[in-house]
Amino acid sequence: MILAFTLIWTVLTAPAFNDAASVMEKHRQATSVQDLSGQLTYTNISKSGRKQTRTLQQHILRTGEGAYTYNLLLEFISPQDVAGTSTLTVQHEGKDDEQWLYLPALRMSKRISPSKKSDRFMGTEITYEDLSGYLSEPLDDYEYTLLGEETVNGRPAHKIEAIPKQGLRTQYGKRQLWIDKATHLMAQTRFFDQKGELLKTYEATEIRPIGTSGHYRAHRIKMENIQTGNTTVVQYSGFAINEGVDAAMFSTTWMETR
Amino acid sequence: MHFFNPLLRLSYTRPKTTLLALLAITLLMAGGLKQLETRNSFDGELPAVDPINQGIEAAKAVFGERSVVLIGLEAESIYTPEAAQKIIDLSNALAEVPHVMPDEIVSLSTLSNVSQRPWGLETGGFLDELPADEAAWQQLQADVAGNGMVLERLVSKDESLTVIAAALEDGFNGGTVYDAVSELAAHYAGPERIHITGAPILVEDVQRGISGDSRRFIPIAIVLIFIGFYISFRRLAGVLLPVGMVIMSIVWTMGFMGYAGLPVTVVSNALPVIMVAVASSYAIHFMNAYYRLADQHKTGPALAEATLQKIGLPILITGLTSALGSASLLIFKITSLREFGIIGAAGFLLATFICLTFLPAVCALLKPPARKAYQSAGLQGFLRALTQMAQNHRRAITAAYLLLIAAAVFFIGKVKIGDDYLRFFPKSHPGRVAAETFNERLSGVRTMDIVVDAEAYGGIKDETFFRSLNDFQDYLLGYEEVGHTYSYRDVVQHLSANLNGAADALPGSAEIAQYLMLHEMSATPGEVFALRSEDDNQARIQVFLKSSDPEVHQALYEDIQRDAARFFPEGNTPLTFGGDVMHRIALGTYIVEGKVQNIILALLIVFLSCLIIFRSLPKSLMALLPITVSLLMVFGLMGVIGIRLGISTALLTAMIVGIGVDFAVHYLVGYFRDREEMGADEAITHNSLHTGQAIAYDAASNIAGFSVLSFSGFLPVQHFGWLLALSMLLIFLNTMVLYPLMLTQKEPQMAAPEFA
Repeated sequence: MILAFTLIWTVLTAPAFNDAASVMEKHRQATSVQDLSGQLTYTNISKSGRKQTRTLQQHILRTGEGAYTYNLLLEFISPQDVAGTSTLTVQHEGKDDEQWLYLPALRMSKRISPSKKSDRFMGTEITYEDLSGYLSEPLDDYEYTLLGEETVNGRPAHKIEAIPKQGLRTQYGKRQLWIDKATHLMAQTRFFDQKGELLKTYEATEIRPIGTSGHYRAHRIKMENIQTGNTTVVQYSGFAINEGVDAAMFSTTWMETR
Repeated sequence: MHFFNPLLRLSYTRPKTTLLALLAITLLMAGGLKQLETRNSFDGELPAVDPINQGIEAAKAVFGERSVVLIGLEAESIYTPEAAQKIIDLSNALAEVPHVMPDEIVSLSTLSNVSQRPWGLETGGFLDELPADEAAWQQLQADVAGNGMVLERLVSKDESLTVIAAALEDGFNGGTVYDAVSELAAHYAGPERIHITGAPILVEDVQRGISGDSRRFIPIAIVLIFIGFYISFRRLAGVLLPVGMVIMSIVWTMGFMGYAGLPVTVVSNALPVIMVAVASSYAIHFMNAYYRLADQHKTGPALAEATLQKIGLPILITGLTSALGSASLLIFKITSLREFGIIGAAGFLLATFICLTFLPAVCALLKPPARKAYQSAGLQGFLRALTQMAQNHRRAITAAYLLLIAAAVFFIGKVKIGDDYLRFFPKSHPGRVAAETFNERLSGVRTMDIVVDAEAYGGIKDETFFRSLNDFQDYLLGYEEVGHTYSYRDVVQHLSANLNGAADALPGSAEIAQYLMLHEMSATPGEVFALRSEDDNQARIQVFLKSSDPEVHQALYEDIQRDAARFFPEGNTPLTFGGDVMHRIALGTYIVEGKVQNIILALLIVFLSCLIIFRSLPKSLMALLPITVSLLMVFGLMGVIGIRLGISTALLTAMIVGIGVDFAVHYLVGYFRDREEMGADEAITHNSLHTGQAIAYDAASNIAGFSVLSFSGFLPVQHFGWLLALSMLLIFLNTMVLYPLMLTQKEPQMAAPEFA
């Protein structure tokens, strides 16, 4: 009797596990690129409504170390007085990232300490852990469960719960993910802290195809910190995917001499 | 009086109906008690058009609310795993406290830092997590010691004290924050000492101290006052009737506050004490007359009517003048004092109404007492001696008074203005210990914010403006009472020192912009927006002050205003000032300005009232005399002893005028009534012995009651209590000495009494 019940239960529930893994794998494939360029404008909005807006050019290139590690170059375009300020991040498989900062006023780049997962990326509400996940979902670090289907901003999506595996150092106790069924991109995320309280919400909109690359990207994302009341809105434009990026750009020399 | 006669007649012709009606009104007014609200915050105390208030609001609009709670952790060294872990845990726990802005907690574990290392730049928090080894501990110590933004602001030089500061959101509930932070302090204490302070904590301490002491001492004061009643009248009715009247007066007045939406504040908290004093004063005079007339009337209604005829008018007059005296507080621009003006006026009128209806109604139902009114031989002897002394030694007493008045005027000039909140508490009070520890070993707990407008969009990044601001901050640091200043200048200087090693060189515009960009990238929005406006056209300088003396703050404020033009061109000035000390500076200004106007207005109101009542200029001026002399003496004494003229002591005028005028009116009305039947000297003696007795009972019971408050461990309650007790004694003595002295002297010129 017990054996029969176990068998039935396993048969009934197995597709759910498989579905979650399959959805997440498709999601990782959808975000995986050889290279990417584009412009982004981010606005930090404080709880009291005060805003700061900055525009950057981003360049991303897959490293030779693995399928999901990247070099990331960010260069400020505006405001004018910070134009040229750049940061270079080189990801390593299983090791800390390397980071450099270039300030035009000093005409030299400085190596900066690797950021912790919970550090805010460029002062936004997006942390380095979020950024890493945005570049490539860490499938090995989480247990995924398909919770069902829901519509997000008028688009059907899979609702998935991601629980960190034992021993993973993360700022999140749990994430709820909504993966767009049509494009496999992240449409919405709810981040819960280690106490199980809602910490942040992420929302991606204006999902459109990028040229003839076959890839789609959200052109507007919003990360809202529920606990602090601060929000970051990022608006993307001029995406180019897999159109070739010069590998020489990802060096301190390039930052200092261009 | 004619106007009220039909109403008052009901009280003794239909006593039961009157009492039922009063009971119904009391129940109705008690309903208002449920609607009473408490206002602890000082927000809204200043008028919206006040320039300082406008400055505070302008600074708040750009840089947000900056009420800050401070938790201090004191240990032999803060650089131990146990102490450091507590810094991390306390910082995390504070983020969970209601009304704390989670991204505006400043501590070693939250503050971002950029430090030069041989391999490059180390970015991140000082103490995100415990250092892993001895080298990491040493690095942490070196980073703190080498960072001017942290040393002495967050960590003491001897490394034994660190502070965790949490900014509160606008409209925070002080009580909730106080409870939660106290709980944290208790949880994390030992072996380290945990201090809690900061303006929100101290304000709540003040509020709780006053409320707690009021709850403890007011019942004792009431009991003592009524023991005084029993000693005075030696009859149970002589105690129970005033008790009933006082309780009704308090319920009616506080019910009125509830219905009118007037909150309980640090000022109106004193209402029960004041109502006890004023209502019992009315009751004493009524009961004194009642017992004196008892042997002349055979029925209760007749005795009640006769008592009303005799004492109704003076009580009505004193009620009206006291109410008008209280209404004179409306001249203050401080909201809680203005509110108290309304509450006091309503309370005194209600107490008068209750006295003239409730007491005669109950007396009409009672049989007239068989025994004659009790007269204390000792008191009679004292009053007689006082009167004779005043009459027989007019010159000597006049000279003594002139000397005392001259001394009082001299010392009034030395009265210190504004409330030094720290000194409200006993030296051992945890909030005071914490604040003094911070003042001594860190940069201070009180803050003044100075907002400098660079005029143009992005103007604060301009190197010329930066140099001006840099010089201005150095100038501020030249003041002994300034413990520390903090602005984007310090961020830029720190980054400049770490990025290019030039600690002293002033950066150019591009460097400033890029250093600020770097700061933005590593700090929270809270940290960034605390220093710079959204458009980078305004910069905020936070000035930490080691003194809590409002006069020191005022002097510094005036100096800065005067000297700002030396550093900034016309477009950048006037500077905008904010921060918690600015409220107190403005309050101090209004207290002084309002106090002078209030005294003049209160005396004018009393004078005009007496002019209408007595229809005589000399008599009206006479009514002012004991009050004026008592006011001078009390304020002169405050100058001698060093009691500050603050928001609570500002109430003293209303009390002195309110009660003083009662004594004066009762004495003068009694005297002129006696004069209808006897000669001047005889009338003085007769009145001093009879009306004087009631005044003495009134004064004595109030002195006994208010003296209890002087045993409070809380300074404002203590000062309020004993200054009131002393005021009672002075008003009584001045009334009983000055009138016999003057009436004897002026007798030939006095006209016959005429009452309205």
